[in-house]
Amino acid sequence: MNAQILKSYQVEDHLLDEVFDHKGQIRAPYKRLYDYFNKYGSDDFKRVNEATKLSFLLQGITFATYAENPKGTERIFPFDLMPRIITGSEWKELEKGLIQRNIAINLFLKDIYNEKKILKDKIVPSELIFSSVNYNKYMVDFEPPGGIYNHISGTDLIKHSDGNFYVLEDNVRCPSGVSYVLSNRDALKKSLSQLFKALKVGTVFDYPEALSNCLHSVAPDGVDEATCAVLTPGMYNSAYYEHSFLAQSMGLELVEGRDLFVENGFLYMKTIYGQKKLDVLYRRIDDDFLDPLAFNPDSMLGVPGLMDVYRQGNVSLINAPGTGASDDKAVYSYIPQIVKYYLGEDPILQNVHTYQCEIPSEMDHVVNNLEKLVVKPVDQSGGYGIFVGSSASKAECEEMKQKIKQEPREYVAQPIMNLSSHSTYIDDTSQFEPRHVDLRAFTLLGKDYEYVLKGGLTRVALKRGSLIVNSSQGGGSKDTWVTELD
Amino acid sequence: MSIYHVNYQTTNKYENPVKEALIVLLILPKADESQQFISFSIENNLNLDHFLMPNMYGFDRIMFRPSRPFSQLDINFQCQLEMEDINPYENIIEPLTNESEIIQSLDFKIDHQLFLKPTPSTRISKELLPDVLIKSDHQSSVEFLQTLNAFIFNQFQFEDQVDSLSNVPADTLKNNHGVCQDFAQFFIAVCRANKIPARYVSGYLNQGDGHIGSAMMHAWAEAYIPGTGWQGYDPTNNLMRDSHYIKVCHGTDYSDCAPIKGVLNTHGSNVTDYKVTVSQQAQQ
Repeated sequence: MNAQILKSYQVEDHLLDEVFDHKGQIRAPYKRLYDYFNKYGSDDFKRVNEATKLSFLLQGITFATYAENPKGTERIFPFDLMPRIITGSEWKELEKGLIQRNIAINLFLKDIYNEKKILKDKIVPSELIFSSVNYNKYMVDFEPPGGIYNHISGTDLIKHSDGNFYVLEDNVRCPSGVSYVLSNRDALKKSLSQLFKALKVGTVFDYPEALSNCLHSVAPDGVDEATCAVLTPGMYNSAYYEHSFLAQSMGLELVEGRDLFVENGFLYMKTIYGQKKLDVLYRRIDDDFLDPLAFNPDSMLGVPGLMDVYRQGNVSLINAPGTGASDDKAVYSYIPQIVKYYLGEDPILQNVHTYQCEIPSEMDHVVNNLEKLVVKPVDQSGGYGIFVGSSASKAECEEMKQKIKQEPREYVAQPIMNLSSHSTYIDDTSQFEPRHVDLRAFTLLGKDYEYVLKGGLTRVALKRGSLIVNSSQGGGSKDTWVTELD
Repeated sequence: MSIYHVNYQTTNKYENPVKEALIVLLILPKADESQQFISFSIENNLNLDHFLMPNMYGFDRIMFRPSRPFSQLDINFQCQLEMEDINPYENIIEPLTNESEIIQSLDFKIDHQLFLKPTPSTRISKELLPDVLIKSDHQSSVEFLQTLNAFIFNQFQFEDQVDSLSNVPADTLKNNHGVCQDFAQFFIAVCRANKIPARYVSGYLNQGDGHIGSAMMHAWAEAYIPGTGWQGYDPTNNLMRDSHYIKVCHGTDYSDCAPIKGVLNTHGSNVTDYKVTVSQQAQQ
């Protein structure tokens, strides 16, 4: 008989493992999966895993990382066959919490660009907002079509060793990763089809339709049947696969800046049949590159005059420019107060405690307890520039302290949270080993429209012991199953 | 009341043909109760249609989108307008006794953040400024702004040629000279450093009356005075804005008000020239 592949799994004492409890017993939601996997030996498993990976490569499901290779060579996104399971009741709370949080963020954005009540009421320091490089003056005294700013939010959550989910970060600019959710599911559907029915796993394939509904719901006033398109910076972008995937699955044109132009107050797309007016643009390029007339004049990616058409109310941009003023890591620590302020409700989702280095007493705490903290630059995404105190050398700590003291506004710190671990198939050992995971949940907000993708993207830190799960930092992913069963 | 005739001509030559472009002109006088159009016309050598689109502050811009290759673009803009007499001193009301309190309140800072926040070309550190340019709490804004206006006029030498577009306020102070644009931005920088909201204004100046300027668009500043509102100051002439000043637009600094901007699909160099004439017709 083959060696059972999950038998030698080691649970680490101080961690929460989502699959096994501390006694090494399989947790209830994973029971069927465990039995199913244990029917196979490691050789069988290896074979199925390889086949799945190959199908990813053949489908062109790849991404490029800047740090590793500036030329942008593409890699497949590491993926393994063991799904992560979230129970129905757990998910219900998460879903409610995600909608609540993102609605509050939307109201916050509308407020800081218009009435600015929350700043005048001193709930959030006005300096914090106005000093942010992401506070976009082109959004001042303007409300986008449908009153929605963060149409698409990617909320990063972790499961702490206390068993609760915590929000680690909000991403409301151009969050990526959703295409991997759908591709992962596609791959697992083929390999584990019987289990889906048995576990009553919620679908993720409704996402393209939901996104399309969301885009149409915020069409400019007076437009009955909106023409939408996806704007990509081009094939050298790390998320190009996703851009083309989303355009294709929604049946929309994938366009680049040079395919578009502005005339007479409207945005047009060049087609072989002549010009066609565009009403909704799902743009996957950063604010700064959107419009060389308004922002970075050297941008070759954007459309000159786009911001003017936008301010005329003649095109909808998804997401709105300037949303970055709400998801930087310094604003993050105010989100619980923001939820309370606009909705009069207690936040359903918890934040990880965050120290603001710009507040002198908090900075003192941070520089004196660096070894117990994770320090993050306020303005970086993709896991770049994260400093983990426990694994830094004395010299690195000293350097970090100096940086914080020089530019306190630029840094926040959080206690090192024990991200839960999850059994993950490791190629090198052909075994399952515990790896840290987080969850990026995708929420859509449109005009009178709310949607949360069932599951989201579970990201895996493939390096043993590493806490950094970002795909741009060499992380992998898992399919995430929301089961109706408890 | 005065009738003005404004002519703005620009010639743009490109080393290599431009395949596609968006040309944006911010030269159209703002229409309001003090300045009204009688007529205007826009012509160009390529017979392109133009369209108007407001910028983020609501000022109309003239746009051209040539879609056939070209190597030269000449634009000729003419307008006739009627200016009401403006006596700036009439507008200034008695300074409020609680003016400092208002300026220092959070609500005021939030409401005017756009024009209080220094930009790279309107930033100067208070340490660099002479004492006379630091507003004291018992000085009214009106007094301070007049002092600032006179300081620039008396201390700095006006040059009528632009040598570079990027004189930052600290350079203007160090070198003691500049063009109207530098003076306006210096004025704004000092206001912002002293928590007075201020904005950049671009427009036309009737030079026939002995005013200092050049054959280009003029630049001045507007400062916000609690109780009074926005007031125009021209440090190049040590004057407040009156009916010799035809306003086109305002913004946080020059970059919001550049008279001509273009996004071009071409390579190689280009030469842009422009000329402005403002003439006053006989008084009625």
